[in-house]
Amino acid sequence: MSTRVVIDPLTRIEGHLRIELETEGGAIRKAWSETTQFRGIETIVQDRDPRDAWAFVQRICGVCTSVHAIASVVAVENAIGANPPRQARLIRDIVLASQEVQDHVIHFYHLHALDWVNVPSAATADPAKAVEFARSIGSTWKGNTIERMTAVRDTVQQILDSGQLSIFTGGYWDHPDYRLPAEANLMAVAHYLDALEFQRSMIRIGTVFGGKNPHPNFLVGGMACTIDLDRSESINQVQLDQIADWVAETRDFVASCYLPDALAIMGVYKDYFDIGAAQPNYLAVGLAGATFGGDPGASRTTSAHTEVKPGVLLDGDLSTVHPFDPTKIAEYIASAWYTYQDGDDAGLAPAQGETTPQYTGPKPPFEWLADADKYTWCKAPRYDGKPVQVGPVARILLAYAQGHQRTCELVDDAAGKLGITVDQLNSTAGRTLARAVEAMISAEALAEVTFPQLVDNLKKGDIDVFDNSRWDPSTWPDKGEGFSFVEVARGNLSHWVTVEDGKVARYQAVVPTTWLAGGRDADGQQGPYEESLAGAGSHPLHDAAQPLEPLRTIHSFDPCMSCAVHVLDVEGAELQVVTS
Amino acid sequence: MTAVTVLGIGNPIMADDGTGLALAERLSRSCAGDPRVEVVDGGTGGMELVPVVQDAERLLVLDAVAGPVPGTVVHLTGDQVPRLLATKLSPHQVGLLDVLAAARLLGREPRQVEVVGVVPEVVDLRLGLSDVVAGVLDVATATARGVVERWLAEDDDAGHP
Repeated sequence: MSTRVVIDPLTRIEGHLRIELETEGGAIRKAWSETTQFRGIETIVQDRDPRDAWAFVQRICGVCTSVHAIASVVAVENAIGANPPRQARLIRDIVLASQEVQDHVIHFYHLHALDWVNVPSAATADPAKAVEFARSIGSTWKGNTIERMTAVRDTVQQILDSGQLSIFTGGYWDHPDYRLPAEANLMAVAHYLDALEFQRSMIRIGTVFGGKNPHPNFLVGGMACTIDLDRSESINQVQLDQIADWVAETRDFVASCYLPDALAIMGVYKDYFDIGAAQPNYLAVGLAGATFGGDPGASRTTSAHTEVKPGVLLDGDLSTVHPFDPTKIAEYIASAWYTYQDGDDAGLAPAQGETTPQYTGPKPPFEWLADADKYTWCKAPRYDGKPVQVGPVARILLAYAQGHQRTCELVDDAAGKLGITVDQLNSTAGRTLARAVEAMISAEALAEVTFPQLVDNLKKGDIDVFDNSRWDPSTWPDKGEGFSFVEVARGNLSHWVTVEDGKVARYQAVVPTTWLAGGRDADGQQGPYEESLAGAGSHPLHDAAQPLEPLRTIHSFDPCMSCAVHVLDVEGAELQVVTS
Repeated sequence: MTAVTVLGIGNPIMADDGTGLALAERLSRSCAGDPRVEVVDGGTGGMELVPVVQDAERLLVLDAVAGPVPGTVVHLTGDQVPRLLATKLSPHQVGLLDVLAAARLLGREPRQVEVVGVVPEVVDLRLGLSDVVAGVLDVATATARGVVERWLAEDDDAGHP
């Protein structure tokens, strides 16, 4: 007798992802990943000035605005033949890196950690033992003091006494599978709060270069900021000194707090390195921040890690890095509420993509969507016909497979400490660990490569951040097609634009969450979310009313449903559990 | 020090969801040049807005506000704010409650928080506000402006610059 379970909404920050499950005997047998709202960003920039497109498309998402802006600007530059100067590209690298590390930190502590960390339990901890615990796992964070832990314990106690759990509302705090000792929970809650304070520093890096935050300013052909070390109204020495401090603080936080915490927490949940595997195919164009205008196989714009090449790993084989060919990407709609001119079983390349909605599902409120072939607004992208994983785990495995030294050091060290093999990174715990490893690599690159390079160039007098030779539409081709690939926090992001007669004729965005959250294709292959839950048929789910285990797995992908779709739910639907 | 922080919330490509930003823009024009007032376009940001909220002395949030009658101008003060926030103030789930709660947990939050907004009619992917909402922007802006002026006057009375 199987039980039907619906988890909706699933994400903590946006409520547009829904999962339907069939379970039997405490394990998940079948899974469907559903996005219940339509994204139509492609239509809103139609016929607009391509130099303005970034300002619209950055509103696709509320959390990662700058990455969409950069992807758009780079795609348009590719279409019109603009070449931003070196310093502008470096600034974009710095903005991307600070955004990415901030995103990973926020994801780990504020969106995912509470799947593993029991907040109420922290109130019962001994602060001195919490400090000891932090030391024992190698955390050298300056906040590991008895005074700090005592203050945080008292804060948690006050929250519990007030009867209002504040930002911790909605957790399954009675679930029996919270395993950390009280002291570890207290340490994690303290670091949760420290991370909230600390993210300010990373945000400010983007603010200085983009003029404001949220929604920093970007520019086709370069960056909108002016640099003059001696003037107060442009980016000057004072601000560069501040950025240097924030960059150092970023590295310190990741090295002394985030990475040790991730290792320690995943160590307690080690069985999750055997839970939640999705298809062992991985696609990335480099490590986080890698940015290409046009074919990554042919062009290299800029990146802190040029030694890691674009590539694809297939069928779990980490010894063969296949060259990445963008023409092998196609989007399928067999399970999605769209229609294609050539039939709904066809696969279309993003540059030829069609976004013609054709909703055939039931009227809300509905109880169950998955009985129909079509059950989601998310297209199913495939690479050479295969579902692939994107994101930190794909990038880390690609870098590892190419022998990238720092990646290998960090991965081998973590694997040794945890007693796992590298291929076990394809798992719920593995994706979470890979994210922390990547944050370390990015924070180091920011501190040691990109920011020092920018400053060195400035010292040599290179303050050029804008190339105006292609600003005037009369310099553009009558018809230009462009695309960009950018490795952003959640994975591979591509924007595809056609510029005709000075206007946007066609626009498509393939976002990381689409790669991961898409449903079944015409061949019945599940998307990565679905495979991670139902692939082995043994994913645990002990209590349908408290679906903590599948939440752990889906959160490990860092879902961002505001990115895949963006319309809202006025009532904010409650979690549903349907049993039959 | 900025005496008043005005935080516009919403998504301008989602019709009336952009109400808060439209109000912020109008207020920004009418307060232009006043160093005591800072207007921030918060978009649909989440935790990255925590610093804005934490650093605010007095925080005026401009937003689309859920309600039964589109075009109703809503002004929430004092205890109304947390109570209504708990039942989802904002239709785009920006997590404003989370942001305010986080600021409180970190031990630094605005001395005062008020909300001015309009009940949306259309929240759908398109640019521009519905006629119903556009028709009450003047009233809503005046309400918001009134909050800012009251706060500035309180500061003057208290002898602050």
